[in-house]
Amino acid sequence: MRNFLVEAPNIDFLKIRKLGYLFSFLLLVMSLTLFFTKGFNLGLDFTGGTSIQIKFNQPIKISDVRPLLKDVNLDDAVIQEVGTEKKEIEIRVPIKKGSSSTIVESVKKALDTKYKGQYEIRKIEFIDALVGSEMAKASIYSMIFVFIGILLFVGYRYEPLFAIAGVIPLFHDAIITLGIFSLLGREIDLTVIAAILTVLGYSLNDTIIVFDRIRENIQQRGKKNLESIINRSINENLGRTIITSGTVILSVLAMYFFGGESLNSFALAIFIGVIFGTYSSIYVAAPLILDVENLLRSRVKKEQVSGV
Amino acid sequence: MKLDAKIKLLVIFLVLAGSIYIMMTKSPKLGLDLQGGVSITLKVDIDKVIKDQYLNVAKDIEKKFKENNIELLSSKSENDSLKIVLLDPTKIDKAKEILKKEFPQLTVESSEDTLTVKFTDWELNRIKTQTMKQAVETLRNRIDQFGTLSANIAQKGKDRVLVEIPGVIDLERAKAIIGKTAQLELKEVVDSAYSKEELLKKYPNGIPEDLELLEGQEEIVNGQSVKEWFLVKKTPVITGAMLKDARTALDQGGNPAVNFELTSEGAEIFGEATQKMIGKRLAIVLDGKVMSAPVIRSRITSSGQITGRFTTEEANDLAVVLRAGALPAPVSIVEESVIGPTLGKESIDKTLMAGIVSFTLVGLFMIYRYALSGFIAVIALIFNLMLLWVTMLLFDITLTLPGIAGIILNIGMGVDGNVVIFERIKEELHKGKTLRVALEEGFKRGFRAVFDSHITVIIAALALLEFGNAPLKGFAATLSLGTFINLFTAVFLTKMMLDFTIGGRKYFKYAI
Repeated sequence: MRNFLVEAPNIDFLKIRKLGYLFSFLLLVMSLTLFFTKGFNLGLDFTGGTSIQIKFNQPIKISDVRPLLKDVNLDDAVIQEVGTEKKEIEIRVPIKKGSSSTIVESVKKALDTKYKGQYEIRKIEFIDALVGSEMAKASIYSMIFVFIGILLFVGYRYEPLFAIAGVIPLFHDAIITLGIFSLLGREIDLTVIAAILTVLGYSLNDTIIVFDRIRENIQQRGKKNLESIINRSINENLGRTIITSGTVILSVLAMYFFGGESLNSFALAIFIGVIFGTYSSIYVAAPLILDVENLLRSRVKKEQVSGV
Repeated sequence: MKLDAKIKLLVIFLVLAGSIYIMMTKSPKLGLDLQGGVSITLKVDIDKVIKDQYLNVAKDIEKKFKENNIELLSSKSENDSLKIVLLDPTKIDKAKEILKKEFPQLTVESSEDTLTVKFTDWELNRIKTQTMKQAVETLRNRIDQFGTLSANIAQKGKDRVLVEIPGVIDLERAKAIIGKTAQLELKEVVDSAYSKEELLKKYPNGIPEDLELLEGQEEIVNGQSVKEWFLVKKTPVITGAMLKDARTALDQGGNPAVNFELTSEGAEIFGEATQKMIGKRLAIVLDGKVMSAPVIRSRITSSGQITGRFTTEEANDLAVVLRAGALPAPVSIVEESVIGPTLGKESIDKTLMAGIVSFTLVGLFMIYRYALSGFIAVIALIFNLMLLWVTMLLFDITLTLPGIAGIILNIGMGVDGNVVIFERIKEELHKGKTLRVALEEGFKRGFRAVFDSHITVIIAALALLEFGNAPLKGFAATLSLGTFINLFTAVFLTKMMLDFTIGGRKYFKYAI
């Protein structure tokens, strides 16, 4: 490990890039299918409603609480366990007539019939449906902002070619992360969106380190043998890419296992994002430079031919 | 040691000393999610204010037209305009001229006999800004009187006000005080009855335009619950704007009530009006509901009493909101969160633990992989975290739970720059270069990649600062600041420390 991958290996990444594309394509199709069939478990931030988090003195069963809520006409409440101790639950009531206060009163009344004095309300949240839809819109806008910002920055610092090749994998990373959240049925709230935005910024981190090396190697050797330059650059940077992602993953794992319930989804989203971000910077972003370049070149040729 | 190096060392020492001083003297501002408390976001109904403004301006226009012998067929205020139809279409040019001269805040469009009047963008903006300013001001007054220190009240977006009150408080009472429009109006009663139908029966052609129907309070009369309905003049005699003071008192029956006192200007108007109204009833209307409607026995000037079926606490709170002034428009709660203090404490403990674990894991790995250089990177990381903390203290940036997540993430991302550079050094060493040369090459070539990759993280963080709620902004703040500081600690500070420890040595077994 001390000198793991210091010496550049000699893996022909570009030769197997079609396999990488296929793998990515399958993952994307699966994610998009999940979006439309299973959908997302959207959090309170986006749906609006009232959420009440309650901690009991002793472990309880959700099945014991449900009938109590039915008695106060909260049939449509969703009850979820929080944490692993089975002591904490979250009751979520969708937006409807009546204020959050009346809902909280009803829940208290329901719980008092069985658990009087044995619980503590830890957190109450109410979000208006209007705010929820605004948040959803803002999330989408901010993602677009990040894409465009990165496109411009990379285009400015490198070449437009690099910018395109760098941004496509970001869509890939974001879609797959959301796909896995859909698959697991994990709740998507604002912190998850924040995590995805962070991953967009970070995933490019890896990509840029490879791009920088490609740029350096092009400066030294010219663009003639782009394929071997890209291959060489990926190989030279393999250790770097894996280690930088590795240290982030160490932090995120610490957050996932020790950071408590509220940071759980956040840590998971970053974890998934960094894994796929690392993968995509090796198997998607760098190879794309070659393919986009080839595509552009063949178009230029065609234009020249038709121009004659 | 060269002079240059001495100065650098001195700067670092000063930064360190300053940081320690700041850390000892200032404590961080904790977000509500970490200390517990109530956060309420209110939406101010600006549309209603604008509609009211159109109504007001309609009155002024009517008056001005009358002075110039222009008669109106009708004037109707819509949400975003005022439509005025003239009785005599030939006077339309004159009407336009008057509008242009007397009402510069309006734009006018005309067709045959109709004038469509709108506020200019500048005027609309002024109304909106003014309304929001007044809303924030009023809420601050109310909360100050409620006796809670350290509350944070701020405008958020175009039509929202964020109210944050740390600590445990009575949420319902807070909501009642914050949410009450507290528009006090005294209106002349034209007619009243004990049911809506009975009252409306007297007006088969609908109620006249200058009157409105208002609901009274429920009362118990002879053991039966009854409610009186009132037909009152739309234009109030007096509004809460002319209020000087409001205090709790007891009414004749010994029940809690609120006594109010008017400003001198208000007293004058009130005196004149009550003089004419002797024998008639005056409705005391609070937020569109008639609280009571006493009969005027004699001229009243400066004071009055609001009775109702109040508890002492309710009367107190009403006095508070009346004193603090009315909100310029109705408000509604669009977001609300209450976080218990134990949850906040637990969040701090848990994330602190996660931070320590993260730091230990990353630190051990760095030392294992990069030996002395790794150790120096860890020191640079400590510097990074310290500077981040100090920056937050200096600029009073609120620490939130996602903010701590940003700091933890910073531990993992912060060493990235070092990894990129150190790997480059290893590579150069592997190629057979001497330590000194490899160090120079590594930093020189590595920096460009580190800089570019850091900027992209900052771009993402900026997007987060723009959108997102208060806690998430905390995340964006720690992430972007941390990344920014990292550009210095991971590159310049590390380079300096390495230069000091390795010095001119060409080869050093444990350097990297």
